[in-house]
Amino acid sequence: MALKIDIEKKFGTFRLQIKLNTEDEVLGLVGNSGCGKSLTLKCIAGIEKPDRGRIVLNGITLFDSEKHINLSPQKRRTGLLFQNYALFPNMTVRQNIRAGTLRDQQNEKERENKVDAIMDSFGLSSLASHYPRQLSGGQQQRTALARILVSEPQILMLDEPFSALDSELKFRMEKEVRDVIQRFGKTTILVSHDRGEAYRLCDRIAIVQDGKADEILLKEEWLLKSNSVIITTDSIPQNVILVSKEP
Amino acid sequence: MDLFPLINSLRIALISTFIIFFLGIFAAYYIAKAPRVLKGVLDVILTLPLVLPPTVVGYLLLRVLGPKRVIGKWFLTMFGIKLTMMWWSAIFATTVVIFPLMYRTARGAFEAFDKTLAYSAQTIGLSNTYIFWRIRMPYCKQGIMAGTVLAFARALGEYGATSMIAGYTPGRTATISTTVYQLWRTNDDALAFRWVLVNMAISFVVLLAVNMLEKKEGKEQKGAA
Repeated sequence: MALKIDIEKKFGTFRLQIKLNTEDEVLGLVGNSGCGKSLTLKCIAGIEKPDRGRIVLNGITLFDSEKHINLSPQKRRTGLLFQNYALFPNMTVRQNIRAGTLRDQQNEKERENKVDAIMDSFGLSSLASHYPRQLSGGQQQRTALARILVSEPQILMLDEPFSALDSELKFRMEKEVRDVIQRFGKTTILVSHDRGEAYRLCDRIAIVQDGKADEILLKEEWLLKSNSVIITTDSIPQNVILVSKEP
Repeated sequence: MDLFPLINSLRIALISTFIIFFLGIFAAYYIAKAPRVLKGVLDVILTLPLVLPPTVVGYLLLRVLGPKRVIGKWFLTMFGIKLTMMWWSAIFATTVVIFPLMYRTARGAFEAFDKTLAYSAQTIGLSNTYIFWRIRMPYCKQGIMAGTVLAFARALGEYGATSMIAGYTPGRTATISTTVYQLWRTNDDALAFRWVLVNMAISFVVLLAVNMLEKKEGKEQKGAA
């Protein structure tokens, strides 16, 4: 269960040059906005096409410029949670989630059972017939995650998952997302500009700067290097807050 | 009162609106994806009928569809069908004239579409056809419906190009607009006025429908935010 990326893409004067290997872990891509984190996710998902390089997920080549392989996003089996969750506004919660089951042939009963089970596990059963605009931010995020997981992706990618939430909800959803990642159990990539969030959720961290990710560090190493200290009220990990040391 | 002009106008408007519904939407969809230069050029060409005088459109249509011209001649020899001066000739005129209305409103609606919806749909495995009909079209529904109704209304009122390519033959090619002109020319003022009222009533209902669609759209967007 591994992802290997080595890609290049030019966007005007911006140049993305990302080389990453990750396996059964939660990898954080941390950097300022415009550094290429989200673009990297889009390249993996097949929404953007790199100019050069290759992307291999669990032994399956998703993209290889030399061999002219470029699988469609539909065939890649990557789960990507967008910042705005991208729920279909004309479909109910249930229809949104059910849309995630349409890729594979299966009998109708099995499909409906699968949808029911995942809605139940995300606490969405009572909201089945609600439309996205009737949901809170947290409920929207849960629906989007359920829709992704029911489509059985081989990798989970979260693009700034908490940026659309207010701070109180952020905290609660972070805990939920941690559980979701754990349940998923495969390679997960989290894009964030919040170092504390990345520290709390990830195993290893890659700093992305000007389209490059030069090294991947264990989060503890990264902590030492990034000149930050942990401030925590108690030993519960979700209460960790990172603060830059005074120079 | 012979109702032929009403029926003829309605069938011409309905058929050309049906054609333009698909043509306009697909043009809008594919041109929105085209490279910038090509997009600019095609946009100008496709919008041209909106600003050209209908007589110019009529002239150009006669140049290609007339019985002695390239396409007109070919149709006549191949199928024995005359493309001008028949009731269906007016469909060519209305189709060309209303195309930009549909194309531009559809393009506006598509440009407002949230692309991440299509992206997320692709990653969870939904086909592009499914995305187009089940996600993009419902999202752009109001704009496209407003464009369709507007195109229908314009088709119903087309005069210039229609009179040139289909002429005015009572009971054969007469439409409401050509009938009004003919009746006025022949001093049948009372009947002309009745047709004017019919035309105004239809236009009124159509514009009311457009307004209601736009209001509904505004309301739904407010609800979504």
